[in-house]
Parts: sequence; structure tokens; C-alpha cells
Amino acid sequence: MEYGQEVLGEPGLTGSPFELQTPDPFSAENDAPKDTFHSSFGRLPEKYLRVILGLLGAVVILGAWQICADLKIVNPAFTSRPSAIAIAAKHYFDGGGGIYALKISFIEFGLGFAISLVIGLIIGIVMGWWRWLDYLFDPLVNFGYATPRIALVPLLVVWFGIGTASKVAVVFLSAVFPIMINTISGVKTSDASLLRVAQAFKASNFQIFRTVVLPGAVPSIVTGIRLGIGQGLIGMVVGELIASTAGLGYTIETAGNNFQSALMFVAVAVVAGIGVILTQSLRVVERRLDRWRPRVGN
Amino acid sequence: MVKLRDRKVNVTKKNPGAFAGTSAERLEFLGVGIAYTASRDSKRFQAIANVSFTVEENEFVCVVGPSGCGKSSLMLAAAGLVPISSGAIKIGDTRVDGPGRDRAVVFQSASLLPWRSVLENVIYGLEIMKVDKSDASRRGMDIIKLVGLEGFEGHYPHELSGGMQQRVNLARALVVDPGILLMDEPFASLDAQTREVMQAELLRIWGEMRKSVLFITHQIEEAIFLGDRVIVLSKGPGTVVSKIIDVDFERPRAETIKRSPKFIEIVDEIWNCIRYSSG
Repeated sequence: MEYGQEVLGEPGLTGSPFELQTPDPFSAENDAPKDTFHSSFGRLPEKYLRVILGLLGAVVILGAWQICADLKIVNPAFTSRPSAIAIAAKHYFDGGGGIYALKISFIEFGLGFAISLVIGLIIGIVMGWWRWLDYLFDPLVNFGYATPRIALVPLLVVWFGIGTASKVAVVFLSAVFPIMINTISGVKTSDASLLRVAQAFKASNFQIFRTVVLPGAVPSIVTGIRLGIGQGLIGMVVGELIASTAGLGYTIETAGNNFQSALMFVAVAVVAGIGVILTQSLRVVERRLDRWRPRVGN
Repeated sequence: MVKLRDRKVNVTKKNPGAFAGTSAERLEFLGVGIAYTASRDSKRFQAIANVSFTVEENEFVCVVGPSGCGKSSLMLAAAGLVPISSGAIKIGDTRVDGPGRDRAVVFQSASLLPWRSVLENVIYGLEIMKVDKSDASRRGMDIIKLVGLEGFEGHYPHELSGGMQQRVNLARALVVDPGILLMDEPFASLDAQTREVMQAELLRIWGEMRKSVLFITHQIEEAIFLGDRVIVLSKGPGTVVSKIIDVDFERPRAETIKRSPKFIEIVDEIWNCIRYSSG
């Protein structure tokens, strides 16, 4: 769309002296095309710039690391180096137990997070909608949220054993509270003026919930899910570090104990990579749900 | 292209009359009193003391009064959203005791659902009434054309100016074909030029779809320009009707009447009434 080609004005009476053609300052249509990055880099499309700069930054850091290790500026036994990490990664996933560890961690996180999603959303919605339930369970929720999961891991191992089950429990306990708390908040803070519109149309409680409360709560819920992913991943790694027999955290623990710093970095990087993939996927979902929002900032 | 999300809609035969074209209804306020109990100190606050007047079928009645006299409360009570403490509000022959499908409200702020497009917002009331989706969309498009927003049905509320949002607000109320239209200072948040455009638009739209209208405003000129009759309320609390003034200008109203001596006379009359009302 050309700049200035179409303006959103106030459709009024034809020929009326009051007919307005003022451009609406809040309409997105008159903004400069969004994919141009005005800066000292000139008019480069932003998405190319992001990739180029990103790669450049990563290459510089990895290069500096490799050089420092090769020149023994830092002790490579402690810091490892990119070349060693690459070799260790190849060994790890090529029969060194990497696939198995990934599978275990994936199951632990996946199962724990799925359960926390279901329970967090249901309880969150129910507590947000019925105030007396909120009053009833709020102290428990706050207590649970404040309790460090690390402190609970030994107890969970006693209850569920050292296998996968205890890790699923840790992931669940880590992820469920952010999801629950944000869902409650989203449901509670429904826009009062929209509720009034629904009431004026004589909507049933269920209709009010479906058409006003739930869609309005979606941004908070998504935030809760994103926090839950982060907390869940931490819970998984912590659980495996403290007491496990397999998984990525287990790899980190044993590699660290055996001074296999390269392998340790591999496992850490895999965990981080999972986190990035999950949050980026959530971002895609979020962007789709956010189509109706005005764009704020750059 | 009209963008609509896929949604399962209950197709019922419940409301065939929704498109039969409801005729205008009569709205009566009989000795209405509205009292609020402030939750903080449990004191009873008499917002409206004793208000009686009638909006006849197809009549456009404006209610004007000083700030804080409870004009909005009257409208909310007629909408069934606020309980009355004494007297009665009748629509036709039935008492009002809650929201109903025979009335529709145009609130002061547009209150559009931000995650829905214009068309989806307009047909919101029909969706609540479980009207078939395609019928609802068709009727929604008719109303959108009527209020002058053709071409914007796929836009989201944040992409519209204030005046356009109020048009959507109005369309949403009109599409359910109410017998009575209740409007609470709908143009108060618009700038002066847009407001004048919207006043003329409202009269044009009302001319094509005759309904009874109760229009609340604090702007005396707006009340006289739009209304067949103007109800002047006294200063609150304990508001009563100070005066009822017949506005005799011919319809359709030309904007030039705002400069006519007769118009200015009525403005003065109402202004004096408000200024010197008891309270």
C-alpha cells in the first residue's frame, strides 16, 4: 500500500461541510512499511539484517572461544572449546546415549507439562470464575508457588522413586503454578464494560464466559504457559541433577563429575535448545492469536 | 471479502420473529426511584427520587440534565441492568425486571469486543440469541451498510476511529431489532465535528428504521436537535423531572435550525431550568 494512498476518515453526509477526511492517527495503514529498518545500516530489510547480525555475533563468540582455548589463554579442561564440543556431540548422539537421554527427558517434560497444562487451566478457570473457590484455595496456591521445587525433589524421590515418575512430578509442580495463577488472573480481570454489554443482551452465564471472559483471558493464559515452560524445564533439569538414572540432566551431572566438560556443554546446549524451540513455537501460536491487537512500539 | 472465523452456532428455530421487523414500543417511567447503597459505609444514596414520563411509540425523547443527576441510572434501569427502588418501568404493558430482547443499549463507550471483527461484533447480540449464522451475517451486513461502514466489516476495533467504533456500537444495537433504543451519551467521547456528523447520521438511520429512542445527553443543543421532546431533570441527588419541552421542528431536521431564534429560545429555556433547578 502506498503511503497516503488510502486514509481512514469519517464517512459522513455527502456534501456536508462536516465531512471529514482526516487520517486516523491510530490506524496502522498510514505507517511506513514495516519491514524497513531505518538506521545507520540504511534501508536493509529487517529480517535479513536480523539473520546476518545474529550469525555474525555467534561466529565471533565461538571463534574467540576456540582461539582462547587453543592458545591456552583459558584452561580448556574447564572451559572446553567449540571443536571439542562438536566432536563430543557427534559421539553423544551417535550411540553415546544421547538419543536415549533425550527421549527420557522429553517424556519427563512432556508428560509433566501436559498434566500441568490440564490441571492448571481447569483449576485456574474454576478459581477465577467462582470467587469463593478462589478464597478457599488461594493460600494453598501461594504456598505451593513459593515453595522451591529443589527442596521437594528428595521428598518426591521418596514417594515416586528415582525413575521417570519423580521427574514428571517435579515438572508438574514447577509448571502448574504459573499457569494456574495467570489463568486465574486472566479470568478475573475481564473487562467490566464488555461484561455489561453481554448482560444487556441477556446472555447466559455460559455465553458470557465463552464470548467475553475466555477470549479476554487468553493473553494472560499464554503468558502463564510461557512461564510454565521455563519453570518446567528448570524443574526437569534440577530433578535429574539431584536424583536420576538417565536423561539430559543425568548426563550433565555425570559428565561434570568426570570432568568431561565438552559433553557437559553438549547436554546443556540441548536443554537450552529445547527451551528455545518450545518458546518459539509458543510465540508462533501467540502471534496468530494476537492478530486483533494494535501494534505497540517497533 | 468478509472474514469470519469458523464457529459452531446452535441453529434453532427459536427466533423467527427476529427479522419480522419489531414495531416500536412504548416506554413508561412511573414514579421511578433509584437508590444505591454505597458498599463502603452502607449509606443509602437516593440518586433518582421520583421520575415519571413516557416515550411513545416511534418517539425520540432526549433526557438532559446537569452532571451527576442520575440520567445514566435511568437508562440503565430501563435496560434492566440496575434495579429500581420504587415505582415501575413499563415497556408496552409489561414491567421491566431485567435485561430483555425488546431493548438494546448504546453505551457511552463503544465497548466492542477487541478480538472480533466489525461484522462479528455487530452480530454479537444475534449470536447470543442463537440466530443462525448466515442469517445473522446477512442482516449484519445490511446494518453495516446502513450505518455507513461498508467495506470495514473485516476490520478490527483498534483499526477504527472513535466515531466509527460508535457506529459499530449503534449497528450492534440496531441489528437485534429492538422496540426501544436506549442511548447513553453515545457521542460524548467524540470530538465536536465528529459528533455533529454522528447526530445527523443518527437521525438519518432512525428515519429508516423507526424505533422509540431514549437518548441521554448533557448537551442541550444535541437534545433539542435530535428529540421530539426533551425531558429536563433537576440537579441530583433526589432527581425529579423539572420540565418536559416539546420540540416542534419539522422532520427531517436540517442543521440550520440550530441557528434559528426558536432553537435558541428553547436552549435558553432549558439552560435556565437547569441552572435554577432545586437540588
